Amino acid sequence: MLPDNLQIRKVALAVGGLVFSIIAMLVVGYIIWSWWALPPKVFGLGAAPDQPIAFPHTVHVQPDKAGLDCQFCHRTVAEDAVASVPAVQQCMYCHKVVEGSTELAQAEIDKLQQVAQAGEPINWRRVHRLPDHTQFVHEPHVRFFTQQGLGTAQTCATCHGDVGAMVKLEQVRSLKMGDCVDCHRQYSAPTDCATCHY
Amino acid sequence: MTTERPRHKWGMVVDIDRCTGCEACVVACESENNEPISEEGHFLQRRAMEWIHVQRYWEGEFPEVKARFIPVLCQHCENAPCEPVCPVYATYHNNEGLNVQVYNRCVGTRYCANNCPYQVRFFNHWEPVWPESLRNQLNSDVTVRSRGIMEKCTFCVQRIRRAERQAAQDGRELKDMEFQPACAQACPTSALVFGDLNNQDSKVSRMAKDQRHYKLLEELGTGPNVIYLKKVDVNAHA
Amino acid sequence: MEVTRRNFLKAMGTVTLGTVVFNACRWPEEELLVQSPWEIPEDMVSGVDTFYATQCGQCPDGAGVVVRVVEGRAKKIEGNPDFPLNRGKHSARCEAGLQALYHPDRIQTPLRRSGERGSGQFTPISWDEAHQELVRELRSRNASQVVLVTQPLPGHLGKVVHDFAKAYGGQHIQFEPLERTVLRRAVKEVFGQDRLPDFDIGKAQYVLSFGADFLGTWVSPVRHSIGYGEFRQGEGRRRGTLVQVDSHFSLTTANADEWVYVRPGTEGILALSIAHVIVSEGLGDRAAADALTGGAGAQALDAFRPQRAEQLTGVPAAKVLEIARAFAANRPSLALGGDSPASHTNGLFNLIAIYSLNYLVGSVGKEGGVIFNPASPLAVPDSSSTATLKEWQGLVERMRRGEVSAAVVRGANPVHGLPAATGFGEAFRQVPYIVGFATVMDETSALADLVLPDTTYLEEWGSVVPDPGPGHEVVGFQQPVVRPLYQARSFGDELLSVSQELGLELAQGTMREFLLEGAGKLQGLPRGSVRSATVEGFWKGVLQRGGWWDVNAKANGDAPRPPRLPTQEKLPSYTGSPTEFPFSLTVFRSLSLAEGQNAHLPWLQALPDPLTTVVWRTWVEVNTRTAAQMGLKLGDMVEVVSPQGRIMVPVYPHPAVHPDAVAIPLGQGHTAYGRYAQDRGANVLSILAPAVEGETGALAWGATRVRLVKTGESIDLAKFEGMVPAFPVSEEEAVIQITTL
Repeated sequence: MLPDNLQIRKVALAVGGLVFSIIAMLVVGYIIWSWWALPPKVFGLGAAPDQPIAFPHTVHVQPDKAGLDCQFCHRTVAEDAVASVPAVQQCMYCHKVVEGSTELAQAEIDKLQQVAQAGEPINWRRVHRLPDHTQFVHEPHVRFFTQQGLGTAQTCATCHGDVGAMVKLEQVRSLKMGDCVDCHRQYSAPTDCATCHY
Repeated sequence: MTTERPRHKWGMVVDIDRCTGCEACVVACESENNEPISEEGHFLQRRAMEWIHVQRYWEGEFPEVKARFIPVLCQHCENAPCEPVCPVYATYHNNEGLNVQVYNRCVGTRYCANNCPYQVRFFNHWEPVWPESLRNQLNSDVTVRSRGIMEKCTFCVQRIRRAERQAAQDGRELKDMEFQPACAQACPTSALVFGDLNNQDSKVSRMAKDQRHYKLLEELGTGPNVIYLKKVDVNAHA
Repeated sequence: MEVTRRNFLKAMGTVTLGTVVFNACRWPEEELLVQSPWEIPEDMVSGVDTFYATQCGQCPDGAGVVVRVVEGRAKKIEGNPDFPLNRGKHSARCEAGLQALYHPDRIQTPLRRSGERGSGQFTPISWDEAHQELVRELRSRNASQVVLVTQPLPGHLGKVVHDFAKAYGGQHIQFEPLERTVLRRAVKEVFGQDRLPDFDIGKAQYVLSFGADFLGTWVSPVRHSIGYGEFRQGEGRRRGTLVQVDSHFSLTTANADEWVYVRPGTEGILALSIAHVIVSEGLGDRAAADALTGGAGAQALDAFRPQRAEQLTGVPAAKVLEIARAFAANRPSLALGGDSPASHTNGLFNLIAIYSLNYLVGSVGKEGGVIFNPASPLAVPDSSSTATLKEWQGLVERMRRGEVSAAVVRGANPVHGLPAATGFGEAFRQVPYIVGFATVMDETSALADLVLPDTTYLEEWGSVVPDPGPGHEVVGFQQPVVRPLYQARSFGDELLSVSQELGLELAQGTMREFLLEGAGKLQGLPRGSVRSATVEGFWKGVLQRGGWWDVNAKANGDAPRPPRLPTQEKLPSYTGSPTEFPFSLTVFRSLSLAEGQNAHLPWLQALPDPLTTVVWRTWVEVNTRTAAQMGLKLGDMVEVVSPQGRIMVPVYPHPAVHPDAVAIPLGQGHTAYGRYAQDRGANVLSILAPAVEGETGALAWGATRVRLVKTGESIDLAKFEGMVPAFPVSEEEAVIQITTL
């Protein structure tokens, strides 16, 4: 395949090898980076997932729009482990009457209404997922920050970022162990392994 | 940096004069802690899993025969032989008297099990499998351990955490006997009692001062946090 | 690239490495989803656990339990701390109820038999179709030829089934493998009570137990164990003494201060001998002694002089004197008996003698003694009389003659649980139409023409009046803690709906409505633990607390009159001659599997037997020395041969079995009953002689003699013993340290 000329052959091999090495290093680097922190967003990797219904937090949270409190939908966040996503029925409390401002929005609301009529659940794509073998409970975290005088939105924003400004929900902190432990140290929270791992 | 929360020293008292060997604790533990089902083959290979188990010792021959029972679980030693041998610090002693097994760190060398004089550490030789429907029962508060990982009694740390959280939410201190690990909760004769050994008024502290107290293999100097109360036998050949 | 061997291996290596590395990176699909349920009931918030009080249906003692439910899934069963019978405690069997609920072999839809009977071929059909078929069949048949076979049913379900049988005209039979018939009859004759009494072990100073494995499997083990804890080390009391007179070494025997070996079936003689000593030495209550002996005093019991009793029972006369004196002196003292003494052909004689001892020490109706239970405040069954072996034999006869045209079976498994020698299995196959309500296909429902998916006790409404109760009125309420799985429908609901279509005069509506009606009656009393001005408030209250009870509503009425003690002994008789069959066969309930009802639960299969620590198998206990003499080692397969048949089981050399006896646990030997039970171990009932207790007609399960035949085969017997090395036992540093305090 390669030309017979030894010189060209050598150069071609060297260039090919270099390119291959760079790609390999990039791939390895990407994996290592994602291991410690949030994966860099290249080639659509690490991007926020598409949801079955394109739910914009902006419209629901912004004070000049619906202006809902986080806890209005994520009802158990201050009570127990899981923040919980609202039931379809709860969406329908409002969306029985509230219509979309644009055609696109209306199309999404139509999807919701179809699901509600069929009595089916919605399977959202998970955005925040903690590493394995970790027991995370929202309640003490919410309790701690609200006792520090933060409001609900600010409390949630500590880890989830300004969700109210996100059209499509995405993860903003790595939420890996280093991230957790840094914060626990900063606020003198327990760093004993058995706090989270059991 | 640790916090200023009240430091507990969790411990258990096992009154073997009360223990009948009924094994209610064994199933309670399996149910609470997602232990894999021990199949017949697992027993044949001596790889079955029972975080708490009841050992039976025969004494004598018919008709002068006796059987004695003793429930054995992780002793949560103050000076645990399993801890220093772990090359990855997967097992360590925390400031509440618990001997903790960190599943994420464990690489499965099994040195700890080798070094445990009580033989209460269990290795996952297989990926735990449950039929789909039985998975409904798995406790969501407890990690399902995968193959290649060591596991053992945690003193139901998930219940400790839950109770602490509840107390903090209500803005109060933990109460004695507010919660019990699954085994002690089930025990029909109340032979197992769990509590805070730092709290002098707790039931477990009071029982630990009973004149019958002893510790398992005390001469090894492991300093267990499980205290046994001697069996009473008026007919024993003293 | 050229495909050479070297290149090929390189490529394969890379692929394998890649597979290994990247396979671990995959997340299971379901973990990538967060579900918005369609609706959120207030008790099904994600991540929040809810606790429901209900009744344990695993064992017949009727413990109250609390079930932890997270997101609609039952996670853990715990004792209900409020419930007076078990006060927050429970047994291994209770706990395993979750596996009965989530059993992988649950019957999911109604099934119609499509192959030969017993071939196990079924076609799924719809509930509508199944229901129509059931109604049609019941309507078309002669009601007097229809039998309804169930397990002992307490409370409202018992009432529904009873009323159904009565209104429809069929026969209702309750099945219990090792019946308590003899015990019930003895309690009736000695104390004049219809309900079993409560034994106040916690306050007793001296407990004399004849054969009853009351800490393991007998009557109400959890309640007895709670009392036992107090009895041993309760605060502010002297440690009690437990003497176990037994021919078999049970869990209770292991915990006794002293084990007195007695020849099987002669427990009654020993009891009467003890009575003789107490009466002749004037140690007991004079009036009671007079009543028991008809005023004749020790003279009436002359046949039971300790010296004579020694010859019959094998217990030295000096020991009898010692026990009798200690029993009379250390009051409150309590005598109880069951299992082995009841299992012989002279069972009633034994138990009457044993329970009568309580009169002599004034322990009848007193603290630390035998405490009677009042009748249920509701008109529902509060004690379940079960059919005796004689009645079953009668039924088998009728089946053979073709006088039974249809059978409806629920929760009972007589094909497995009746001695094979009764011929029930073959006779049952000849019944033209069989309906089986079952959660998991067992031997009996496998023969059915129509199999209906029943709910487990965690999915249905009901009530339990525990028998025995705690000495006062209790009604336990049972509520569904999860939605019925698959297409399961509660037996009670189905029966009520069938009865409405048949036009029978039965409670209208569903089990829940029927139960609500019962709650209304309790609310109207108004007393007890739950009181409310409205039925609704009361209903909420009882469901929250798991039931209703009134600690002040004790049994009243006159003090029972002591019976006349027998003056002549009755000896047990055996099937099989001692020369041909040298061993007497002891059959005992497995601590975990009971009589086989729990054999489908893997937790209980894997739970070591407390004494032998054997798991997942049946074994035969042979005395260590006898085994050595016969050349039998652990795990050697032997044939246990009785006049009725033979089974193959491995040997467990046991230091505490009498050299002339062998013992085999019940529970295994299922040919159906799900993946965990099927084809494992042997069923000892298949070699049991159909001997009956002389007075009551109950099964005498201790009346069979056997011989052992070596097969030369050997298996590795799965057991817990030896799984972890036993601790080194030295004099100073024993693992189990003992004190004589």
